[in-house]
Amino acid sequence: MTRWKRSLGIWLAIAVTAAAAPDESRPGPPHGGLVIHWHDSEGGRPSAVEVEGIAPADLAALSALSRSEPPSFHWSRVFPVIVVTGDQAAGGEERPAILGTYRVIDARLRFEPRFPFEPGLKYRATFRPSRLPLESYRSFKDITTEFTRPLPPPPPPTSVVRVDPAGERLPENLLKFYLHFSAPMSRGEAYKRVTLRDAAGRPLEVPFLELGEELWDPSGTRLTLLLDPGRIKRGLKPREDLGPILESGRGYTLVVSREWPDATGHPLRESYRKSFRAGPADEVQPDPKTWKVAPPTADEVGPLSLTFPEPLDQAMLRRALTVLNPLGQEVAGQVEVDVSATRWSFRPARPWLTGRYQLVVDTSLEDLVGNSIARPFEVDIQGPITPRIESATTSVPFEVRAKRLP
Amino acid sequence: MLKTRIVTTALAALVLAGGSVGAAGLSKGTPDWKSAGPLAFGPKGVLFLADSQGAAIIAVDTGDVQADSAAGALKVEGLDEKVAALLGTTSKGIVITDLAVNPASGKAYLTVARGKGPNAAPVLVRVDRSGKLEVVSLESLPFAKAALPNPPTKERAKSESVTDLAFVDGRVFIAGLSNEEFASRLLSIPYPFADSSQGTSVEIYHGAHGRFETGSPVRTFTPYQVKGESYLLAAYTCTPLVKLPVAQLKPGTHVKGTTIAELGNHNKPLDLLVYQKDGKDFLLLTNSSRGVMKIQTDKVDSQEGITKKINDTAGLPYETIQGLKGVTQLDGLDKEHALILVQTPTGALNLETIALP
Repeated sequence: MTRWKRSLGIWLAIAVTAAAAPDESRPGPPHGGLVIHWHDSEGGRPSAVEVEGIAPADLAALSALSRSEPPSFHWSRVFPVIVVTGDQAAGGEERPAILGTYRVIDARLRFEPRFPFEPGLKYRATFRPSRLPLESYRSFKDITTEFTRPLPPPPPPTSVVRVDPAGERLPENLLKFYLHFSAPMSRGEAYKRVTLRDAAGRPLEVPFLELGEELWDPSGTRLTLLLDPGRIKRGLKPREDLGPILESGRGYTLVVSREWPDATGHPLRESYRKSFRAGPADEVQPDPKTWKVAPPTADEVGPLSLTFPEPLDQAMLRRALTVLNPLGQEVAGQVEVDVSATRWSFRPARPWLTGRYQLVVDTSLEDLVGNSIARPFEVDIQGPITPRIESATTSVPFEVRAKRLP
Repeated sequence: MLKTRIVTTALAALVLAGGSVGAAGLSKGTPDWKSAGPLAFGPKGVLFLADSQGAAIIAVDTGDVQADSAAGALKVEGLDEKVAALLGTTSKGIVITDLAVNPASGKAYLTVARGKGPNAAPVLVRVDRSGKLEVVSLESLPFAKAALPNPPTKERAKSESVTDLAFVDGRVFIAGLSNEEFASRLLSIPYPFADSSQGTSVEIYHGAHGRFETGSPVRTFTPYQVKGESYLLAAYTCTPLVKLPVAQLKPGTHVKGTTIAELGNHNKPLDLLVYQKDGKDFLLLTNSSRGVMKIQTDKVDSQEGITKKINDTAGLPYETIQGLKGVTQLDGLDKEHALILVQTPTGALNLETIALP
């Protein structure tokens, strides 16, 4: 097998002189033989592999055949490119040829894979002149070359930045965790890599709602992990048979395994553990009337601050509250939520004006257990009637006053 | 009991297809398909692709309307490795996200994510009866796109996942789940997509033993006919199986649905299929922990909602099909057969045809 070395440039050329010496009096490959070039996908250029040495007139004729309808000739039969896996080295079945496009450019046959060659994988290109519908190439042997795009230096290891909710005491009917990572993670492995353990370190049996499509944010750095609602809701079989996932008074640890690969395929820097104790169930809906509002002062850019009697959903807090000025226009500014998600503050881009502002609250805002302002997580219809808010928003007015003179 | 509230005010689905609108509202072009997810077939080879990242439903005319001439059972061993090979990678570099059979041709279609990070490319793969795999290019095909509400943005970490979709009586039903709020959402968009087709969001509550009412996302559902009337049989993330009358899922109405079965512990339904055998209707349900379950549905129309506690799996009678373990995807192939995607003990994925039990 021809061995190759990676040159300094991005072009790799492997010259293979065809075994049968060509007769110069007839058409066919030039005397120099057939050469396969690998082209890495650096510098914004696509990955490609090319065959050089087919006579231009032959290339043109073959090109025309491949474009006829229906095509009477397929380049992929003559010049397949495959991924080489371990079982092939051991004589395993040949894998299907990689999807891509074949073109003739500058007297070369060029194959561009639909997806760039992946670093670390071994690719094999085979040019089979004997399969060309041209008599003059029949006596030439196949040429095969392999290529591996080198692995880039490993990026700094990805780590778990934090897990929300942050508290060390969480309600036993907790609905979800948010796992924040320092870089995008790979998908399809979450439920294998995260465990919830009891005080003795034993993993709980299927505590999470395992979904086909994992709940990632668009950047791939935040995963929402829902605790199985069938074991949180009362009156459903999973909870009746197995009991709730968390029980008040007991200690638990959420463990994120180091083995979880990030989007580049590298494991995490280290495993992450979050220990907490379960407290009593939270069955009270968040109610803006119970929020403590600390209004800002006019002509300043100091924050408007809210303090909640219980932690609310850290993620939703960042988008569920909007400030309207006395004219009813949205105020631009910066939202901050403290780690415990009990305090929300807003710094306006421009100083506050004197007057009556409104804080508009999206009623879908939830607490840690899925009770929203609009509706509780579950309604006991035999119990006292729970108010249900049908509107999408509710308002909390606050007054911005001029600064008192000392 | 289950109560359904339809909210129309907040959500609207807008058709985004550019160019002139041709037959059935589709126009030729290349849809901007951002992420692989659930897929479902409509009439005459029209395929609906759910694109969570692009916050859209894409309708594509596959043109695949001729019945596959090759006879025999559809079977591909090591499907994941073979798909990966086509895409220039190994099975570790792909995720097969869904499987559906085109009823017009009997060919299988798979949505595949090429890559595992947030930038994974979506790919549509077709498998014919001879087991031949082919990547279906969406270039220059007749298509239309309906936007889903709340598209994710760079500034917002919120996104909506689509858990399942189906075409029923001229509407595409979409079950979704947010990565932030926990709410039950069922969206319906009339097809062909109109210029400003109104998506109807249905908020569903289901009861537990007549006492607690809760909202919960739908994990998978399937259309189903009882005495000429269309229903959706929906499996919830918290296990109840409920019946929703399609005709009543209209804006501004309150719909009462019924919990017809509770499936019990660790019973995470993955796919549902309704079929007929010996003049009776059955429901086949794949399940992460119990394998494949066969449920008699001839009692669905008379089944009273579960309103009190029953000790074992409540509601409709069911049996677990022995010998079918590791089934991750399921769809009907023809009247007598289903197509399944099975994970073998070694981790490989096989596509297999089974006789309907």
